[in-house]
Amino acid sequence: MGVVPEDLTRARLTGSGILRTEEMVLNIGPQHPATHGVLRVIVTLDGEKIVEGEPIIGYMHRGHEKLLEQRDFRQVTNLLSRMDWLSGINNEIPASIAVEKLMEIEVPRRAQYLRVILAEINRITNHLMFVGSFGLELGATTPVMYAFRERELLQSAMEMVTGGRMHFGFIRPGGLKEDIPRGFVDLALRGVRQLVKFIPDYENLMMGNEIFKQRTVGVGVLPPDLALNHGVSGPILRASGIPFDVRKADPYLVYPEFDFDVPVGRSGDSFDRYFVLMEEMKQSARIVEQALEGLPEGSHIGAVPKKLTLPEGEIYSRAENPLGELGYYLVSNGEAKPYRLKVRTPSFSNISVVPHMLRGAYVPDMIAILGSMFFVVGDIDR
Amino acid sequence: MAVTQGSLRSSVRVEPEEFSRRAAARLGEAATEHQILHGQAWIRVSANRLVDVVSTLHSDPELACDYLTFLSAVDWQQDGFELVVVLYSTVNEATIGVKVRLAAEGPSVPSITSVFGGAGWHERECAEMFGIHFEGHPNLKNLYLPDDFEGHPLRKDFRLASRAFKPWPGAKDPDEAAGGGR
Repeated sequence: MGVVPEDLTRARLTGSGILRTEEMVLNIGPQHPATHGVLRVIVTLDGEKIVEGEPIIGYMHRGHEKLLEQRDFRQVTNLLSRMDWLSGINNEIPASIAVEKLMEIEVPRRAQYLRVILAEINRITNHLMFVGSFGLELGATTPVMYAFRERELLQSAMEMVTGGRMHFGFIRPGGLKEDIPRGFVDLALRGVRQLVKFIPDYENLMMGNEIFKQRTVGVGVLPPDLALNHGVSGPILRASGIPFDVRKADPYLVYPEFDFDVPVGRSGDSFDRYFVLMEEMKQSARIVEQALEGLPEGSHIGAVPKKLTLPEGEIYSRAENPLGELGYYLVSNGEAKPYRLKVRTPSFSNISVVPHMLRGAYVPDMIAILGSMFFVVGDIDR
Repeated sequence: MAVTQGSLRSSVRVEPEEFSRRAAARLGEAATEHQILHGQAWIRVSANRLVDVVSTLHSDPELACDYLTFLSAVDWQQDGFELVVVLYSTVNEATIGVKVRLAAEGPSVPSITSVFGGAGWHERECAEMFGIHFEGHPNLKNLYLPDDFEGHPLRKDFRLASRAFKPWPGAKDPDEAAGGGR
């Protein structure tokens, strides 16, 4: 036995802080299965606590806004559906609305109904993805299997109409590319009914699970004022108690004709964010059923000139993307191409608040926090 | 626990015309060119009044613009840059856009991060893409681009490399295509 220095012994006995501790910088990413893309986070740790966490973005920056200035208005749709690859239809809709408003094109009611139907089915498939993958991130492998079973039926309904499963390119200025095929109404109805039937299973499996609760309740609390200050929107903002939903606040298409609620949370923690996601699927299913029942006859596209030349002008057009407010600020100088098309994506604003949420959290909670922020990296980076 | 319905914050819809009038009354001569475009109020302010105006829009109880929609810019070439800040009030369900004209050479504007901390990323993106300087920004480094990247990609004089070599493949317009298009 050697001689133990006196002060070290004292530190061992009393924890008086004489032992030197230092902060550690840990790099996470740029790849991690919990990030739905390529996000990198640099965290400074004090023991197991996060002192500072900074997301480093830009690994998927494709320069969309520059590329959009080189495309004409029929071509922008195909680029836009590649930003948030989980909800292509929802990305396409506000861009077409912007063009229609500037050119004063009238969209037939049947086309508007079909847009709502496709957008809401797309919202459900997006939400199912996160419902499943959030379980996966917390170590539960079963929910994703269930979620994908229901997702497949709705996904095949989308495929039946658009021919695609991710990048639909189906919304055109003035309406839709094509009308729906025979059999779609039945398949879509079957899909949403099966979903509603099985949602209680998901709820029991996840929200009724003690381990899930311990991992999420009170974890990653996002106060409403901080969220608003960063422009956080969608299910994440609503989980913090703010009932802001573009479909209600600044209605577009024919949303005012449908009866649906805006689910909100109370505490803004990871559990509430998951809860809101789950509730929103039920509301979307309600909208799809109502829209399929009331689907008017008529044309799927309005009178659109062969060449789309927008008059000079500008417009900020927004819609409720599954992840939050998606907006296009379109400036036209009278050419066939946009002079400037600024894309305001929900994930960008939602992730900008993450440093505040990571401060003071524990390392294992980081995954629960990031996983419950429901983002798509392509939507952050554009 | 969470609730399904019933908002925790009440909101009353204020029509854009009324909201525009309120903004005009509160902001006085700081705001010029009041406009309503597609149901949204727009104002123009000078760069040195931007922080005051944004601060009033944010904290005045009648206006209560608590939500930062986005901040970006448009390059008007020899006519300078247009900085665009869009705010939304969840209390009044109203949107207001603020425009600031900046010089074509060495554009610079005070940062609004003292009012909207969330504008930090938007300003960083705007700075690297347009070369606009935001005075007083706490951390104005590149957001998307590598640190050694040269140029400002969203400026009109920054040419898209692939298009500089080769024009867009295929006819862009029905008129240009052989036989008058599809």
